Formats: sequence, structure tokens, C-alpha cells
Amino acid sequence: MSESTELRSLFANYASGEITSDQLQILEAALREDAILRQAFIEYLNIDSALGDLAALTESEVAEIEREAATVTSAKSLPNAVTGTRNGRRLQVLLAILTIAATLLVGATWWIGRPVNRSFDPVATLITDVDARLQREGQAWRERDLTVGSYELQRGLLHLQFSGGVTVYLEAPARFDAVSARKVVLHSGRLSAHVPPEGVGFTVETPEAEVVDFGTEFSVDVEGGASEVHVFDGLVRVNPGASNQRDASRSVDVQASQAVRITDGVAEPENISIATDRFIRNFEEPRLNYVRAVKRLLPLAHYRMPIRDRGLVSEPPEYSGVVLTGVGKRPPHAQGVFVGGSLRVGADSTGRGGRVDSPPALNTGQFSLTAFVYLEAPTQSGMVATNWNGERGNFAVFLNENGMLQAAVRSNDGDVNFVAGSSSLSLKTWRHFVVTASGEQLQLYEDGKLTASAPSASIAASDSDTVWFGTNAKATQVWDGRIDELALFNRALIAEEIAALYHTAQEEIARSQ
Amino acid sequence: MQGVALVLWRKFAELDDADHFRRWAFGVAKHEALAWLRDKARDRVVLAEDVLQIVARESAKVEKRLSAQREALESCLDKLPAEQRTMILAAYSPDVSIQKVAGQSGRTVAAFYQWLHRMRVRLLDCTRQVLQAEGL
Repeated sequence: MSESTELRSLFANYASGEITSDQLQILEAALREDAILRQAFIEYLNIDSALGDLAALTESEVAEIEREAATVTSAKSLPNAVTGTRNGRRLQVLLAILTIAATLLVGATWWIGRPVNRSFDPVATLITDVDARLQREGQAWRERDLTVGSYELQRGLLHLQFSGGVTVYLEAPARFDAVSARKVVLHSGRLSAHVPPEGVGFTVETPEAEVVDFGTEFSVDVEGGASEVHVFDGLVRVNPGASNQRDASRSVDVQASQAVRITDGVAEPENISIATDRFIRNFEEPRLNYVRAVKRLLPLAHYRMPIRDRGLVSEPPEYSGVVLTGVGKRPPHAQGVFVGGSLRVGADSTGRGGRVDSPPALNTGQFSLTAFVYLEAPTQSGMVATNWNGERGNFAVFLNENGMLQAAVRSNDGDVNFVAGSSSLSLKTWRHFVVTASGEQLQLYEDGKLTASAPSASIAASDSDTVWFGTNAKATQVWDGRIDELALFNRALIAEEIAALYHTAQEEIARSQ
Repeated sequence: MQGVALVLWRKFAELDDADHFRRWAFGVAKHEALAWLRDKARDRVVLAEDVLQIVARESAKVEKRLSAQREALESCLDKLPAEQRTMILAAYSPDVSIQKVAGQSGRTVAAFYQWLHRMRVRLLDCTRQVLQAEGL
């Protein structure tokens, strides 16, 4: 019965797409019940799809596949012959799976590809938002589920979940259409997507290209008639051109650490450098080794600059403050030095920074401040952090007129002492710095090394002077870039501690890229 | 489809996590199949979802055998008379008119489909014999 001629002929009808609905029901019922028949069916389809592949391949394609397989296998087999064999086997397995799946899914489009998304069906769910103002079709949208439609993210950040475990970060300003649970059209703005294996095929369409994901992490930036695609892990396929003008032969596969720009009206995508620090790719602040290293040094307060809606978070929490959201094109957060966020000040905004109204007391006569800074544009006198306000306060770290980091402390004898770094800050590059005041010396360390030192008496006490990040109290000295992982201490860190801290940071940076 | 498979395989060949590899490969396969079918198979019928799932799962379990079978297929094709081999591959060529191929073979379309089915069964039996000889 299992391999009866009659049922086998239904295999043929199914493979050719000529099966009637009555025949299909008979075949389905038989396949449900009979494991041996299923095995025969699978092997029949395997032969059918393999014949299709053989017929479709040109001689040059066959040669290319064989050459590719030989190259990779031999490269892998140099250090370990077993690995090469396994890889060769994996290639065969993969090819088999691809073709079997193609055959099994014949007609699945008929079922899956129908326009099932009605306008009230949710296609994505909000995981979290940070100070977001979202509109759908011109109306404020406050639901957790996003239905099919056109959206504008006017302010803040969104973290959305699509089907297959795909998560997407969107940064204002952005205009996008939620088309289905597997597709977004990004008209303008920045988007980052994490796509697990189950989400393969998630697609971001832009005015200039279609970006199809194959299990990866990537970001898309659409602005001014160009789309950029940056791939951080895995692989995506970019099909250049507007939706009605795409030519599959011009598709490019973009792999990890690669990026391309597709400009409107230009046929070929252009290779560009990957922007590891442009996109917000995670709201979380993982417990990194760097954080543990800071903690071991017993800071009074550590501001990790997480991307949160509830302000400027401190560890311990009692020294938390507020993020001054101000007015600006982009949110007051950006990609940080590690995975996670940082405080974004200046650039295209006004009124930004951080403020801590109840900071820890700095009254031991000693002091240290550690942080990472990132400068977006040449600027003078931009403030990193200070509690200086007229006659009050005892420290400030800022850029001097030469574009170098400079620290100032007020001593308990009333003097103000300065120390300045030895080199100007490079643009769009993170720099680690530490200011220490021991009661005898005021010192500045940059990227782990001592760069300046000056005599300085014990610093004046400051019990509760408001601390500002990225701006001074009068907003006349504003940083233009990012600030991250800022920690305050009531003692002077020593050179070995600072070198170790910087070393840990470097390891962390390498790991997070 | 093979081109994508190669590119992706290069990356994932490094992985020792077979489960992850399989999940990912199926994801790619599904997407590629759907993309391909989007243009070509809109009016086709498909097995019920529960049957598709069982068949897909069991296919994955015997992937080694299926892979070997595909390798054996070429030698089985070579054993056929050249005229039959050419006719089979012509029927599978992309964008082919089945009426035209049937006409060239001197058969009606219905008769040609039946002939093609018999050839598939013969090739399948041949690959099974090859596999049996190899102890698979």
C-alpha cells in the first residue's frame, strides 16, 4: 500500500502542481498515517528537486560551486583535515536542505503570501520606549501593538519586536511603514535589527534598496537620497533600486564588518567603512568587566549613562539625576563606548546634558573622576563635568582653547589649580581619561597614561553642589558629543589602578565590536 | 540558491553548534524558497500545514541520506540513454514550455507527464540501489 502506484502518481501530480483538491486530501490522509509513504514521498521530492537543480545549473555554475567547495575545504583542512571533511559534508547538507525545503514549500506562497495583514492586525509589539513620541497616520499612537500603517517617530527611541524573534531599534527622527510582521519600509532615519535564525528573511525596504536579512545584526541609515547598510554580524542581501526597479543581478551580499551606501540614481552600491559608533543597537548595559573594575575601586557614584526613560541613573541610586532632554534632532542618547548607551550632548541639540541635584559629598580633600568622552565636532570650552557655580563647587573638566582636556580644582586654600592634556582630542573617537587630586598633585591621565601633573593642595569640600554633565550651570559651555561611564571618587586613584582600568576597557571595546 | 548557500556556509562552517546551524539553514531555505516561489507558484496548492511540518521534520532527520541520494543521481542519469537524459533535463529547464518538450518527444502532455513520473521512479530506484551498495 505504502508505495502503491496510485499514490505514487499523486506524488507526481503534487510535484508538478497539477494535483486536484480531492487528490490532495487523499495524499494528505495517507501521509499523515504512513511513515513509509512519507519516506518515499520525501525521496521522490528529493529526486525531483535535484533534477531541477541539475537542469538549472550552467556548466560554469557547476564549476564555480565545485571550485568554491574545494577552496574552502582545502583552506579549512590545512590545520585540521577533519574540519575540512565536516565542512564539505555541511555544504552537501545545506544544499540538500535548501532544495528540499524549496520543493516542500511549493505552493506555500499561495498560503503564506496572501495579503493577510489587515490594517488592524498587529505586526510588531513595543518592548520598550525611551521618551518616544510616535504618530500613526498623523495621530498620536500610544498602543503597545503596532498595526499596519505609516508611522513617524518624532522624538526618542523605540525597541520593537517582530515575528521570528526579530527585534528592531528605531531612533528619532524616523518615518517608517509597518508593512507586515516581517517587513518594514524605512523612509528616513536609523534602524538597527537583530535577527535570529528563526527570523531569517526579515526585510527592510528603503527608497533606494531592499535589505533582506539572513540571520544577523545590521543597521540601516536613510537620509538625503541615500541608504547605508552596516552589517555587524552575519550577512544581509542588498537589492539596490526603488521597489519597482530592482534587478536581482545587481544584488550584493554584505557580510559582517562591511557596509555599503546606495545612492538614488547610482546603479552600483558603494563600499564604505562600517560605523560601529553611529547606531543605537542595545538599550541594555551589561555587567561588563570594566564595570566590575570600576566597582572594585569603590567609587562614590558611577553613571553608566544607560538608555532609560527615568533619568540619569547612578550606582548607588541615591545619587541619580536627570537627563536634560532639551530640544534636538536626535535623542539625548547615543551608542556608548561599549554595548549600551551614552549621554549625547550638543551636536544638533540645545539644552542638553545631565544634572545631579543630590550628588555625593566630596569632602576628603582628595578626588578622582574617570570617564570616556567622544567629540563629534571641533569645539571650544565644552564641559565634560563640573560642580562649579560661581563661588561654589570644587572641580571642572572641559576642553581648553587648544582642544585639549583640562581639569581645574579649587583648593581649600582658595587657589584654583589647572592641568591640561598633551594632545587635542581626535574627532569621533572615544578617549578614556582620569583626573586625580591627591592633596599634593593634580594629575590627568589619558588612555591609561599620565599626561599632565601640577602641584595642588587638598581640594575644598563640596557637600551638595549640583553636578552637571556635558554643560556648565549656565549652559554657556556645552560638550559636543558623548560622555560615558563617568565615575566619581573621594580618593586619588593611583597609576597602576588607572592603567589596569584602561587595559580592561580596551579588552571590553575589542569584545563589543 | 546555491550561491547564497556557499556564502552563508563559509561563515557557519566555523560553527560547532550543529543545532544552530540547522535552525539557521532552515530559516534561509524557507526564505529562499518563498522568495523564489513568490513569482512562480502563486496558483499552486500545498499540503496541509500539519503534514508539511511532519515531512519537513523527517526530511531533516534523513538529510545525510538525501544528500547521498542527490550525489548518486548524477551517475544514475548517466546510465540512461542520452536521448532520455536530455529529455528529462529539458523538461526541468527553467522557463521551459512543457507542451514544447512533450511535442518534441512525440507525446501528448498527459503522456509526457506520465513518462516523466516513470523516469523519476526509475531514477529513485537506481539511487536506492547505489545507496544500498554503499551501505547507506
